[in-house]
Amino acid sequence: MIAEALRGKHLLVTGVTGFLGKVWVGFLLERLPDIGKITLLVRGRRGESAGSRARAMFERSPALRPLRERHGPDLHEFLRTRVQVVSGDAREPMLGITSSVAARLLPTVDAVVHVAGLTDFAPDPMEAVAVNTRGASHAADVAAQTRGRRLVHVSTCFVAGMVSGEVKEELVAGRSPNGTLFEVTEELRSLESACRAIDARVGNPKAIDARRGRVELATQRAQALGWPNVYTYSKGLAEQMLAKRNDIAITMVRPSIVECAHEFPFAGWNEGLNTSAPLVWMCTGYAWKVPIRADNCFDVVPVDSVARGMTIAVADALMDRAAPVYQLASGDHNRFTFGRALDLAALKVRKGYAPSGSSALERLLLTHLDAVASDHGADRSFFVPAAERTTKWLRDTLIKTDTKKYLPKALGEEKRSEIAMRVQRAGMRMNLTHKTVRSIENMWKMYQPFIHDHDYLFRTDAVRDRTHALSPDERAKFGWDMTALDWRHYWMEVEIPGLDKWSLPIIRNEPVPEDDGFDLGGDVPEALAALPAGEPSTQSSGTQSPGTQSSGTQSSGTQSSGTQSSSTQSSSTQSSTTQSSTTQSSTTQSSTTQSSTTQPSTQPQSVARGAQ
Amino acid sequence: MTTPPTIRSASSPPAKYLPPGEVALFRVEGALSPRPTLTAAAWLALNAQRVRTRLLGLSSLALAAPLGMRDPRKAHTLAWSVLEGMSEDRLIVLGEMYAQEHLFPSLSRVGLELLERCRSRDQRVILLSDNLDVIVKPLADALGVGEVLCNSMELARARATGKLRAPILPPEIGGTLLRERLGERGVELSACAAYGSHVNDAVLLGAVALPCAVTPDRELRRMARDLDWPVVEG
Repeated sequence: MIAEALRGKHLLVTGVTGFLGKVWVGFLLERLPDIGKITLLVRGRRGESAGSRARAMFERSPALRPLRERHGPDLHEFLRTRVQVVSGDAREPMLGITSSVAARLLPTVDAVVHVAGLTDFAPDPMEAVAVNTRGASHAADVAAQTRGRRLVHVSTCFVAGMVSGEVKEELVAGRSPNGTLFEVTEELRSLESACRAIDARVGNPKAIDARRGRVELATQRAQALGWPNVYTYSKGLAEQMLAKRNDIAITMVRPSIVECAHEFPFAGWNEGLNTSAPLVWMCTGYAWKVPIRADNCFDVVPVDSVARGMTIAVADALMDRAAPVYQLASGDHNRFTFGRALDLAALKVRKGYAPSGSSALERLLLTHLDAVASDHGADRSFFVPAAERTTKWLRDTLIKTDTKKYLPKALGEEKRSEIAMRVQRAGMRMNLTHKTVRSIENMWKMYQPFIHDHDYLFRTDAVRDRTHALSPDERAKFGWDMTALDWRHYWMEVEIPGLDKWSLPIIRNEPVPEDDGFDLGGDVPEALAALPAGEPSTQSSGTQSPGTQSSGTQSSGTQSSGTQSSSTQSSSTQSSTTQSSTTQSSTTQSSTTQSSTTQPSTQPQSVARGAQ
Repeated sequence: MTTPPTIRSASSPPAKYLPPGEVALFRVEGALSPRPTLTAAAWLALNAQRVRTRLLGLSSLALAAPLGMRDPRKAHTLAWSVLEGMSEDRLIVLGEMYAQEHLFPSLSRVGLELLERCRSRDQRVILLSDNLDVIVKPLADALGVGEVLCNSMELARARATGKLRAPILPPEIGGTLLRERLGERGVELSACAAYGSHVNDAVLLGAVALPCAVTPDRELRRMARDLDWPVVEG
């Protein structure tokens, strides 16, 4: 049924260089080699063309390892007949596809699958709207010109906003999560107008104050409508924009928290940072009190399960019998909780997993002091505020104290100066520690709506019903497979080792491994780019929202590393920008934030990983 | 296993005591490993998630240890009650760790040789233990033994209640309860061979056709001598 629906069909897919996008494309090409054609909409960046980025992805991304192993030296020929690249940008009208290309391409397309999205946790709202909200509209505009007139839009379960309990697979047009009736175009116009007013007041849209002001403003607007942050707000507005369209068939796919693959391309594969990476990093380190509500659902879905669900949704859309919304979550049929995740992380540490570089004493402490849930929220959790106060007091004491005054003169001036300088240095180091603790506290606060305040139960009836209708053979290949997932095995043997290998190196400022040694051969850009690619650099920079570092943020956030190394590079090069543009600047925050620009780093980001 | 055990009679036990084709029951505590069940309970309690729970658990076990001298059953109940609230995940993971880190290294050579001999004679081997399944099953898997009779923790919402699931195998395994549980597997207790080391195993050894005391404690040794049970030293 699935194979039949996709046989010979032509899909236009955005966001293919992101975590979910590339897994899904690899999954399709691996399991449905009879698919007609997949056109990858890729944004060139930093002088690298779309074709070149796509080539790098096929040559080096571990997500496409099964494809390389299956076809070997014939991969080039296989891709030539199945894949083509077109340059574009989700922020641009018509996704940045030039009119000449559109005229040739779109009449042959059966469905547009819009995976691209900005997945930063607290992105610049202008950028978030441009990519996530208006980008969805642009995808719909493109879909309207295809022969299939179908759009499958990858959103997130967390557009549900700040609610607890059951979340149905439905979209109520003109109503926000807290029930407020609103008009989405008016809301966008007001937001953009208010952001421009902030820019005018500050004078420089790129100034930190301007960005901070825009984020605060958008967050307030989001929360007034029932969304916890800018990310879910922008994705929610995107759904509202699409709900107004009646000229095309629209199918929403809402993944929950997208995590390490459990099977495809191979167990443990991940890219960038997501919700669990910072959590695991903290919980396997020294965060002994974690401000979570232990019984709340931790709605994790492996990326390959999301790929399965997406395939079902796309097949249904192609057969014109799709449900309006497909939520891809686990909580309603195989519930995993934050308390259980925490317990399993601690047990993994006991079984020998310890942060690299830790001393024997640290390992002893880490293996015998398990992280526990502190059910008081980030504001009142014991550890972080106490540590924040203590480090602040120590910093102030060390820096402000005139040490020389208290040292006996018998030591001599030189010795006294040296000791005083050491004390000052210790104070500076304590200052860094203090900032780290503050950033941890801020991170918990950002996570709080998702890990503490709300207990979501996303219904997944559509994908499960469709799975039941599949033949045993297709169910094995494409069926929703979360029911049988063994969380203990997945979390301890797949997720944590996977994060350790593929994600945590980013936090640790270490290189992320990637596959080397494969050469597609031939003129790959030409082979892949059966359609002419545009000029990516001009397209991508043309619509940068004022006051944002959007070129870097967008490229890494939306396209999230065609290759791992580029992801790492982008995160490191962006760290200072991102640090400065947020209120936190400490080491941990920078790593969290920098990862969030590269890959989602928090709950909604990870959700958005599905939307990459 | 601290020092390699020496085997006096295991190498040449009387043939009438180890016939092929029968069921051989091995008591884990003693015949295979010197580690008592209370040690496992203590280790699990010591590795509870919260420090406060660990301290409370160890305090309870400090009471259980002397109580075990007078009333092993009560001590047994008290020992396992300290695990109340522990997650199923933790029980399973820690059980595997305990088996690997503490039980495997303590296995006695003589016990393993007897086990191997039974298997080589196509005897059906069943491990008997009053310990938890999360510990005994990894051991059985490692030894290649397919059957175990042991206890398991009662769970409620994936957390230990601190009570063992009925029917509970007490420290002195044997009698009607064991007969019934073996009967469910089509095994006639009175036709089995059994290997035990402690006086607690006397009931078991007395109920089987072919008892064997393996490096027995003083009381069991005396009993074995009186009842003419073979004694295997390690």
